Amino acid sequence: MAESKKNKQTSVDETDPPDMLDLALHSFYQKQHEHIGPTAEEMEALRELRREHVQNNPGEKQTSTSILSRWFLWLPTLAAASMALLWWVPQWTSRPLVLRAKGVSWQFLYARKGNAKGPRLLTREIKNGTALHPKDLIQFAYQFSRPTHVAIVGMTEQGKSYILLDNGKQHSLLVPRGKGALPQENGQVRAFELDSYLGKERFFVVTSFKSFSLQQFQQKLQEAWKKSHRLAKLSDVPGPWRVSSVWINKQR
Amino acid sequence: MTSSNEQLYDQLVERHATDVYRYFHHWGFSTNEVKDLSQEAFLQAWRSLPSYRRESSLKVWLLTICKRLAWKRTQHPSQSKELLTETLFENVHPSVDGQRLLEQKALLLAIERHLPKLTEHQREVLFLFYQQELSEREISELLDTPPGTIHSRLHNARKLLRMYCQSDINSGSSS
Repeated sequence: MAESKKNKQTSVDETDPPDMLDLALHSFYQKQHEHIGPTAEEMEALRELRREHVQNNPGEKQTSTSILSRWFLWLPTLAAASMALLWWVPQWTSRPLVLRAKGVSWQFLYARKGNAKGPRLLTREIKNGTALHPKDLIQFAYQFSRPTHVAIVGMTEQGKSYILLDNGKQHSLLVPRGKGALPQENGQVRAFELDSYLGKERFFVVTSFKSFSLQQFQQKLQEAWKKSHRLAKLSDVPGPWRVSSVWINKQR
Repeated sequence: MTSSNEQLYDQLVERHATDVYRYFHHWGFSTNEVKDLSQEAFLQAWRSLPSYRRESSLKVWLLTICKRLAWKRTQHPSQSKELLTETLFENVHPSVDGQRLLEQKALLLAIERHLPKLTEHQREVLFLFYQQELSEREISELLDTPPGTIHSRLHNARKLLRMYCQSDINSGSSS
């Protein structure tokens, strides 16, 4: 009986397996992934991506080659730029020295609590437009060649600004030279946990070698906001400081 | 960007969003990561649409973007890649009956058990062939690997699985 079973099995394996295995593999992969796919909401978000991207980057409508090929456009632009440079150089030399921090570099990082594998959280760099979620952790890693005054300010897409980091008295915080990450508490590196606000937000990391007032920065920020009303375009805030910024898209 | 690119993008989302989700899921990313990566992939696809030269199918072109993103994401040392082994298997092909149904169920269980024994390359080819339903030529384009290599990976993967499954079924029937 066992022998006949074995014989039967062997004969089935010799003739049928290619088809059976093919069918089984097909079923296996289809079943394994059948519940995977975007929700209706996620599909809508994907459709919206194109419109959002066009809205936020209107300049990308033309490729660089098409602009270059239109010589009649760039030739006058070049001439105008040379004239502006001639005018600007003497103006600049007579301007008072603006204290902008050099030897300063930043990296914006995030981590997701759900992604913790092992004792350390997985950290990744935040780039413009990175999708983050409430409760994600963010951190600002720095390297300074000399002691630097720092402040971090956030802004929502409605133009509402708020202070993330100062010295506790609406002024910039003095950070010693070297490498590190902000925020810190009693010398220990911490992280900001994102709140439940959904939408775009921009973080401005402001540095200078002299102490500056956050009130002054926020005032300049509001002025810059009123000009464009676009968070994606608001990368610099003119003033006696250096600004590095990044915008995120916070989603549920 | 022209309106034809806009149409192409919409078509890409409608037809291939699920494929993209499944592709990232196969790489072992969490639900949130799959969502993030898919958005990143479509955004990149939208930006690169003007350079799409129709040399390969739209799906292969899109999956090439996904492959690069997934690869980049897994370069982080703390990100481990896990083969997804979820419990199946009520799904069997409707054309099989009785004895064959039982055999196929046994095969499905055996596949689940033995799939991790295959190499990463072999599993990848199986996924692209059976789940994404790409042809060998399309897989070769996507992975930038000669068609002959893809053919032999597929062949060897099937051969190994058949061998493992056969030994399972034999030991099951003799016990």
